Amino acid sequence: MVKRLGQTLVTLLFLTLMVFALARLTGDPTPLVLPTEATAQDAQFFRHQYGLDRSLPVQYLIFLGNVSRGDFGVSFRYREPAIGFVMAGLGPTLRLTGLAMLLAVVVGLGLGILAAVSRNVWIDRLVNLYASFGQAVPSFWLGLMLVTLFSINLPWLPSSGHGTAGHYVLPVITLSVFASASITRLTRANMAEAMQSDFVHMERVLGLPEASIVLRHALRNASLPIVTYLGLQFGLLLGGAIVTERVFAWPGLGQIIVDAILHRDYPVIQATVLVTAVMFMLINLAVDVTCMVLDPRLRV
Amino acid sequence: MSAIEQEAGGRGRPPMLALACCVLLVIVAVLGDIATPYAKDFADLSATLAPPFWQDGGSLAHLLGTDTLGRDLLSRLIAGTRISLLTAGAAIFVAGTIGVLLGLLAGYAGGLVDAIVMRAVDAFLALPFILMALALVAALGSGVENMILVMIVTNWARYARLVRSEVLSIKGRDFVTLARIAGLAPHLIAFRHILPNALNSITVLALLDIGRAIILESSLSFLGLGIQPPEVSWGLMLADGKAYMSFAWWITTLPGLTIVATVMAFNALGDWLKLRFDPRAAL
Amino acid sequence: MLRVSESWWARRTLFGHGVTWAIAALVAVGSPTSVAQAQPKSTLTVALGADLVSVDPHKLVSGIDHSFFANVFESLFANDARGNLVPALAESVSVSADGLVHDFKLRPNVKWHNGDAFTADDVRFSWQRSIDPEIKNPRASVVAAKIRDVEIVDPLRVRLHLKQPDASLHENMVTYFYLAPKKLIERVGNDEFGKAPVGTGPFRFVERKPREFTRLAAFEGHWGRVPKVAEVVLKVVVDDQTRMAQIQTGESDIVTSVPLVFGSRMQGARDFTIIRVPSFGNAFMVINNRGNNPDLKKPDVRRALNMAINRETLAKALTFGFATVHESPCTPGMIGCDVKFTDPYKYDPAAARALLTKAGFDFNRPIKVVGPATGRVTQGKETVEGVAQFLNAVGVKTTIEILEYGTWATTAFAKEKNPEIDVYLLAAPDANRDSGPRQLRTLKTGEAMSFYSDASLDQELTKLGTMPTLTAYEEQSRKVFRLIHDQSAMIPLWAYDSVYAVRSNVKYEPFRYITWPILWYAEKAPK
Repeated sequence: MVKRLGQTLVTLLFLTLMVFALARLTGDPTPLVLPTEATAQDAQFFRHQYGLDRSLPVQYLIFLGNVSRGDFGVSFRYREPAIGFVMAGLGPTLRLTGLAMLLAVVVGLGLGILAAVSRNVWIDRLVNLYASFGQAVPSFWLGLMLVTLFSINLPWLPSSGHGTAGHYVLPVITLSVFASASITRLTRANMAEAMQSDFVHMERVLGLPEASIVLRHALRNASLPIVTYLGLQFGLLLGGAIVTERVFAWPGLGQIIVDAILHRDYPVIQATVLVTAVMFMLINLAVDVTCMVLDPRLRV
Repeated sequence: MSAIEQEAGGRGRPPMLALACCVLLVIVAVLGDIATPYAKDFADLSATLAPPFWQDGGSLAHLLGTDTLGRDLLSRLIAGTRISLLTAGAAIFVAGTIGVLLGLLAGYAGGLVDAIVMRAVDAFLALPFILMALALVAALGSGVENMILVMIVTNWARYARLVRSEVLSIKGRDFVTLARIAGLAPHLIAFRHILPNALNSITVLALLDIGRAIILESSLSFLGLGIQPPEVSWGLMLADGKAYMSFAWWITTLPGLTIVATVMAFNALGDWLKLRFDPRAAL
Repeated sequence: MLRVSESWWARRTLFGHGVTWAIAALVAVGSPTSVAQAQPKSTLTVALGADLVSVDPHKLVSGIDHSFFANVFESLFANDARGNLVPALAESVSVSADGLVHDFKLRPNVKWHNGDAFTADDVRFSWQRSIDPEIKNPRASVVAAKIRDVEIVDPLRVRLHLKQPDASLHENMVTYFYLAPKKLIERVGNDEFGKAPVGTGPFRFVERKPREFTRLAAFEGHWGRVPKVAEVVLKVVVDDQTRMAQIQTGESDIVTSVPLVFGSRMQGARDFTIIRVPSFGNAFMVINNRGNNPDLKKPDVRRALNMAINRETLAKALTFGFATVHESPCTPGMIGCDVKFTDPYKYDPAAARALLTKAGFDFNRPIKVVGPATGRVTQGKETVEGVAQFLNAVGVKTTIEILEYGTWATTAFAKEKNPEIDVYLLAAPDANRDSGPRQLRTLKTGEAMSFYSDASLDQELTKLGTMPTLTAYEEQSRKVFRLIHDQSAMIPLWAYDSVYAVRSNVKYEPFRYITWPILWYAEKAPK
């Protein structure tokens, strides 16, 4: 356990270094931030104000110090604390990702169990087709197609923006498809394996109702790898959210980070990436700990 | 007998449709611009936004229609195949090589080296790859070479992790110990004995990664940060067509379908291979 | 909301009441955004394609900020519906013979939104604030920096002493010299003022949620233009599809910057009208004659490039008829744009190629064409690709680079221009009929956006700033345009229109030449 925590901390440190380097790599923000009439003196002043005129290692240490206190600096572009933007975007993104995850789990589990349990070859084939398709389709294209179908041709749903329940439908569906495809596969495979185990065999012999066998035993055995996978999946969903958000003009982290990158707003870039990564790592940590708790064999 | 068991029974034969698609795609990619009915950036300004031939206003001159500058969609799809497969393939190859080498190093050397490499791997895997890709593109600029670079950076970590765990599992085995006692140099052991055993998993991962890489590249091109004109990429075509979706659905729909078909084909191949090498790893 | 009194069973039973209110509550909760829900009567919703960057009138950063300033602030002059200059906060002006002293009689009984009276003090204060280095006004040079002093004669009379005569001073004042309240700003400071700006315009600022919307309310105490709607909401809807969907559903009453393809395909819709007005927006390609390509120093080569492009066809394909092709980088209607050319460029690929050969053009060396990604600039990418295509057709090789907006801006404004760039797409919306400042910025040696250098052109451009009268200014402008055309200093493409979409129950005719919505005369009938 302790070892695991230690690993996480070191990884975190690595992350800060990477993020720092990445943000600096995006280029010099000075010309983008200052108006065109700015003089060399203005540029100098701006650089000094944000510590950009110090050497890189010093900048990194300052950055590290600030970050550990939760200070991500002030956005170059809007002159407001960078963390504010991240927090503002976090809500919508988490809502989108959370709902997408939920939908993915429901659909994935449902289809996976169906495919594993059903004797009908066609159901299995269809589910497989869905899983293959879902893992192959780029989310932004799917989003555009759904918009064409349900916003333009059939004016049922709003094509972008944020506000009503209706606004959630298309983005959540779009984002969930890849995840639900993966979960479907995972569930199907593990369920099929579990269904063939001796345990289940025995329960059948004992005459227990099929539904109960499926739900209580097979599912529970299959759930561990699925839960593990969900942690990983969250990171993928976050990544997918970034592109999906652009398609639907969703005011979340995706929009914030892309804008920040286009305008070389270091503080916001760093804040967004770090917060996202930390969240992801914490979730993985939580998943690992949960698994360790659930399954003593994993306690290394 | 469930479908899984059926599948396991037929595992000798690769999925023919997928295989045919992959072969076709590779051929098209190799042929490149030779195979296009029109030059990929030939703009026929008198025939802009023409629909595919089966729709009203379409013609056989432009089978799949044209875009806003009157460029033939079919030609551009064919031209895009080369870019997409090239960037994906090159990136996976190099990323794989780097990842494998680092994984071998980490797994075999152990200790501090292992810890450092694995923490780096964790860090790279902690970031959603599109985030990293975006930042890299902003730093390096867009274009084919930079695309490949970006995809290399975002992909190497999985190979490193995979190979390292393979190394760890093989390291303790008898034949390795014997080789070591026999005085075989470590790197020879690594390449001669450990690597071939890991090759299967690496190949499977690579095949499955091609699809991911294609989607990553098209995502970046869609955002305007990837392939630039006059090069053609499916993702770029999608972005081009976004503004005209209400009036010219084919500009967005057809490239998207191409991406889906390509990725599905490679995934199917990869999955079959995975099942073939290890029937128990049924994911 | 349901009309509770009408439904009989609601009147009868408490249960009915409860159900009705529950349903009403559900409807309210499920309704579109709270902005739309809690509106008082006659709120005009205007969808903008981008968010405001600044609400401080002396910090004009982006053209879209005018959507705010033009409604909330005023200057000494304004434009009317035809684009002509009319008095606003100044009733009249008399200019001295040497053009150096402008004597303004200010309008009486003008109030700031917070109740203070507008006086000459405010004019002087606004001038000082505009050139204050702390404020860093990006547009100080256009008007404020040309003023040597502002003399207060009496509370309603002010004299501007200029450093040198400026024929287009009044024109430029409309958008570059907004007036700000002295008493208020001295009391609350710049930061507070930036959060709650106060002007004299027909609308007053109510609230702002960055990246979402800005709300304005009618200013009942306005001196002459009390708005006909009670409220205006400037909504930010960046996505084209959504913006157009909103005009179709009625979520927005007016949509600005209608994407051109929608504008052309949605004519004749039932619930809304597509309105097209000429604007001062121009698309053109600047040529880098100071870069690495020596051929671009030859006027014949530059002329040949102009002849190789079929502007009409390209404009039709890309702008769907919402642009006017012109051989000068100006819009018909602008100062000096009525110039006539004795040898217009004619689309003639064969002649272009012959001219290139004659001039010794190196056909093996590609020309690098750079442009902005489509988004901020209409059809930016497609224009670059189209132009490159035409150049290819006459044998000129091209390499294309499409830059995202941030990089494009940096490249355009870089102190040291990139010598690799040969031809560069710019789309510039001017704020008024005077394109002089922009020509200077893009053509004079060493200026902010200039990739070009020519001594004789520099001379004529400099003279623009010394013209004493408007007539002289016009004549000099024509001279400049003729010289640009003779030298083929750039590749002018077209002047594009502003395209609006307006709901049928809204009475609104956009001002000519103004690229942003001026809203005080808009009327909205209940649906």
